[in-house]
Amino acid sequence: MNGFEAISFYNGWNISATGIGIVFTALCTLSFIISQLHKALTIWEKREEYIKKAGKLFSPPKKAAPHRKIKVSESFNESARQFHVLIQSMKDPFSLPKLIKLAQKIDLGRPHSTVNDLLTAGLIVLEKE
Amino acid sequence: MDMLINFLANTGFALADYRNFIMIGIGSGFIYLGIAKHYEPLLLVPIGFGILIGNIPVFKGLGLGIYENNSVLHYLYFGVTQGVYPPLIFLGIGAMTDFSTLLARPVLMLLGAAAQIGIFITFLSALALGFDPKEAASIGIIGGADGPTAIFLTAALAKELIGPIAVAAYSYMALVPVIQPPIMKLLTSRKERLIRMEDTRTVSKTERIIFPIVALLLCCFIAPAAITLLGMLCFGNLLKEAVVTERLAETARTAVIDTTTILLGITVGASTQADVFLTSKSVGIFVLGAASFCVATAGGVLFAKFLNLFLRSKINPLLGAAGVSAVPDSARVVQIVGQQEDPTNFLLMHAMAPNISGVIGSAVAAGVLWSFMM
Repeated sequence: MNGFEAISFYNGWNISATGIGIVFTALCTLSFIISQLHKALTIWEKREEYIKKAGKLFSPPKKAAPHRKIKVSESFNESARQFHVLIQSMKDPFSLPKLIKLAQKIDLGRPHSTVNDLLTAGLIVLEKE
Repeated sequence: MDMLINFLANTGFALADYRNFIMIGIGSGFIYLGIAKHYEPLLLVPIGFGILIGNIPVFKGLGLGIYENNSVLHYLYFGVTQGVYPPLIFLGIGAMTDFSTLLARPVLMLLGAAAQIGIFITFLSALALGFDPKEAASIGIIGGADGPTAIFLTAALAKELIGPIAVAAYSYMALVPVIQPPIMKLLTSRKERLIRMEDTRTVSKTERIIFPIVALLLCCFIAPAAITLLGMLCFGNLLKEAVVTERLAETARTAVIDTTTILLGITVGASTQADVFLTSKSVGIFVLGAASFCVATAGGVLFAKFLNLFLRSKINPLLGAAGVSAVPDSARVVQIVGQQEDPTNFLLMHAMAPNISGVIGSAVAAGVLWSFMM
């Protein structure tokens, strides 16, 4: 038997069509999976970051911390106001030694102690390194 | 005097017929091509020498010929007939291969799939020429341009054709630089051959480790009959990429593959004894094998052109020719043909992607054909 008759007799058309279909399916699927592989790996490497983000999304919003009232004397308020004016004249962020020097120059009383009080009260915030 | 006459009657000169000399000529030709022309010397020299060994006429019954049950050559040939050597070669190939370019641009994998069309068209042609389905499947796989796969499938389906099919497959693999360029040039315009490929991204070590595992699981779940070849290919690659198994990988890509290639080459060559090899079937196998190779090359190139209709970043269609799995020769041919148009265009690295995917594709195709013929 020869020719198309032989091909049909031995089911050649079906075998070929199915065969090439399977080869294409296998390689297309593999190609798709490996095209996504590096994305999946990136997600896996940053999993902790994503978990944190997801945790924030689903956790109830935190209540704002209650406003802390600090009792201060009238003289402290006055010193704070004066230092505020000085600080406004300086660049932000400013250096504490310069602030103290400036305060000494214009004869503000006890600049070291006042700056310390302002730091303690949280009115001057130290810059993180 | 009788003893002398008996001795002379048993010499090769007395036992030989013209077919032995034809085969010795072919064997010598293989050795010449391997040594002088550098066409796949690691394959053609052992096969060529095996052809010389197999075609020295010997007195039957002394246990010398490869087809005699008690001969040493017959024991070595066991590795071919039982499909032992091809998976070991795949192990070595896996341990040598870097899948990075494939991982960086997975779309190129489709070119390796397209080139496998040569296998199935040749299968149909062989059926049409009167070969039975198992023989036709074994002949078709020559189009995969993968010697070990061709031998593996033929050993499973049509043992009597191992010699001609193996010789045809390896001959055409060696002749890749001669067969492919005219087809590539015929099917592409100069403008297409000048296309430059985009630089690929860097592939992480983790990706390279995961790939052989994913490829094995996926392909073998789809086509379980490919497990022997793909299993060894992926295992070899995992040994390479895991780094901690470097010693095993080193053995696989040197001692194992070299020893197996020697044994495979010499026994396949020796199996081409003139009385078994020089038949009308062998002629048909060689003609169909050549056609299969051409169709596979054309299939890859044309599919690359087809993909370009949809891709923003165009593929140089020459890469399609590397979809036949003659690693790394067809990739090298792509580089050479590409550089004939533009010496500054480097396609070799990109061509390795379809080339390697061709190896996977032909192993899957072999598995599929095997399962259909069982």
